[in-house]
Amino acid sequence: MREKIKSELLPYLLNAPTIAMLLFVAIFPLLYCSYFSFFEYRLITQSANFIGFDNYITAFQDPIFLSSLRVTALFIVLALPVELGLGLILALILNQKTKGASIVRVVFMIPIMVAPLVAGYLWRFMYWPDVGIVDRVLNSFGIRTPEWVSNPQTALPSLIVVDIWQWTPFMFLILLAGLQALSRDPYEAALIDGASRFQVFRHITLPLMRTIIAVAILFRLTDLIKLFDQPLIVTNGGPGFSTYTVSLYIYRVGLSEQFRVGYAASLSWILNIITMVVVMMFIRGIFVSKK
Amino acid sequence: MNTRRLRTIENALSWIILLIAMIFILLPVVWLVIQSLVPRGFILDISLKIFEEMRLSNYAMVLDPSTSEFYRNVQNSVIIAAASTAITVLFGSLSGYAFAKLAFKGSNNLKIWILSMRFFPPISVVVPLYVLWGNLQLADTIPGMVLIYVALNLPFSVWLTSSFFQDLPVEIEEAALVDGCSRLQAFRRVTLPLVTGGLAVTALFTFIMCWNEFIFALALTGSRAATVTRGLTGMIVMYGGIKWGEMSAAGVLLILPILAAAFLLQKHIVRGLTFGAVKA
Repeated sequence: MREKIKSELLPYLLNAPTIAMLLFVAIFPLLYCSYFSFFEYRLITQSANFIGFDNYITAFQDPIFLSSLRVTALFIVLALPVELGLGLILALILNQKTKGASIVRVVFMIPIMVAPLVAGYLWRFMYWPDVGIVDRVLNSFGIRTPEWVSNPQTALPSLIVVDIWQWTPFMFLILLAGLQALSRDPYEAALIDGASRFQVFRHITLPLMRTIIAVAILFRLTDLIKLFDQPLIVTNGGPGFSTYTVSLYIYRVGLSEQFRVGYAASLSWILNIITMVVVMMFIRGIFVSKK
Repeated sequence: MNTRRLRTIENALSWIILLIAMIFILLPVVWLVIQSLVPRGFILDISLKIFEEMRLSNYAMVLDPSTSEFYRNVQNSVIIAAASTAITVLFGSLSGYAFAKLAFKGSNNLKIWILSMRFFPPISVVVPLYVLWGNLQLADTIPGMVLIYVALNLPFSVWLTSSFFQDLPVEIEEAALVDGCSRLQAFRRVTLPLVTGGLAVTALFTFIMCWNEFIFALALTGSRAATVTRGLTGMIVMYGGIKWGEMSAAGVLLILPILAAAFLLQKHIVRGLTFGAVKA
């Protein structure tokens, strides 16, 4: 009898340290954060006044916050499809190669492993006016270049290029692994039926790859919602406020310059709710149905 | 004959595409390395002469404790990342084992809940943790950072170790139980030795993520517990201007050990990147 209770409790016991850590370092701060999102709370003056939903109302009238939502959305809409598309094309190409494939894979691992912060510095050096490598190469072809990161027209596209540089390889490696795990049988059948290559891709490869593509998109999507490191280093949100992502703006509001912790908390919760909706849409479909 | 020629053209074309992609990927890194070897900041003219100018003086400057904080940042990062990794893999593998090998009520929901923690934007805990850690005397301390990094990487560790435990056939442990081993004995003598490779992979990934982490290091470390990433951003302020050569050297030092570790992880990279969801 005691043995039975012990073995029933065992899984919960094994999970206890993990759950305790997550409650202490993630859930408790999140709840604490939602609590002071209802206060006008500034760290500098240590003053806290209850103001109800005012912070949330302010948020939706704050032009910089709305612009940061737009910037984050633009990253998702512009960078993610390019990364997925390029990653898929490169994976399809490499999937047919036997020689040299492992070298290509190793090279493609590099950007993923580089700290996003260092990737930011790398590209900041690359984009440096006149002496950076981007300008040198383009100028040597006689192309006149804008000041990439301080021109409002080119700042955001320049940042998107950084993201594409760092994360196309992520898509590529995952999709390549997916392609290599596919069974040969349906392809042989299609070959006998005389299907064209595009038909094979459209009706066999894509449907078989659905889950794996969804996994890759989920990881990239949530990472883009959090985007912080590269914009901070490459453009510092500028010029003006044109490349502030949501995370970068929350950081500015809460922990530098203004220290408006209450307002930052309300912005955090808006971001959390957006994330929750996105994750809910994906997570059930991907991770539950498999078991 | 004709199709064969088409094949050759296609093959050449696809290699050209791959080559362009590889140059695009390598160029920024090569540029960083070259920059780090040139003593005076930016190279003003690109010619073969730069190879004569190359020195290791930027590295010497960065690593000399009397001229730069970077050496201390490396020490902090190694301690924080190593301690976080040890605890994360220990806690994570306990959970991972439970999810993979024991049936219990709420198992699926709990596992999803743990995973969902990974998807939340860290910024939403950065602000409250800044206040809390300040009150608990944990701000800018090594234990304070370890606590955060353990929680941050636990979802990954639970899922990845669980996927490695799932790989082991149920029969192995059952056979040991039939032979009269207790569960603990069966785990220690049979399961654990078979899964050490998987745990090593999990540990290496966790170490990399701690080493590369930036937003918490930026918000919660300062003069005492600054990590390498925090140190790198501090260099701009410290010198009152950007010293390209030294910053590039620091950047290279930051990514070099990680690339070495990544090289060891080659076979497991996709599995790690997808938290074990894609077993490749």
